[in-house]
Amino acid sequence: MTEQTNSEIAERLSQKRSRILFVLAAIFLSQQASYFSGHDPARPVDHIKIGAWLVLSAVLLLMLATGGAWFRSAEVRALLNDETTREHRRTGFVNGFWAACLTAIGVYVVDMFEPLSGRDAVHIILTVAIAVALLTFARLEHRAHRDA
Amino acid sequence: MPERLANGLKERRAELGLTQAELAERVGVTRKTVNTVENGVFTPSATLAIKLAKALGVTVEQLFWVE
Repeated sequence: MTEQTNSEIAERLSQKRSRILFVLAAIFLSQQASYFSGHDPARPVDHIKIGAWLVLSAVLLLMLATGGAWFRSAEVRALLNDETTREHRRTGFVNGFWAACLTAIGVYVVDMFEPLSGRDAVHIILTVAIAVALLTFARLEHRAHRDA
Repeated sequence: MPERLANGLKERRAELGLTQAELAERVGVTRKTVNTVENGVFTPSATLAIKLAKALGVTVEQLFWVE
């Protein structure tokens, strides 16, 4: 078998990453359906659900911030986070920021009529912000690969 | 009409018989980045523009211009 160069490895991982991010976004969003279908803070199972959401949120944020591929060499990680990737990530963060602001406004308005707990408000805002940032980044990366 | 940064990357690369992957390797980016610059989808930084020009043996002004 021929040995792959760092560029080839980075190219392959980058394509894989854009596909995985769509799957992770789908899993992340589908988790919310069970959260909002009803939860009781006193039940241990709901602690696990909330804990799982929190862990996945942290992992996704870390992945967005660093580009993933944590166990690869520094050269491969540098290629995986080259200029276009950093630009796509920046756009993802900007869209995530605006989504968080708009959602916060929406939550504030809803709270006037239907009071929400602080935890629910944080859950909604954080979920929307991460999902929008993730999907924006994944879409831009996917499009760049498709056109290449 | 808005200005845009045009480039002769594809033509110069073809002249030298280089593939996008080979050029990408020379400047330390992925093929995706070379492709998006070539297609005008992505505006490269000054650093990348200089690296691309150097790898293709031309000046930045010969490789990029404003339209």
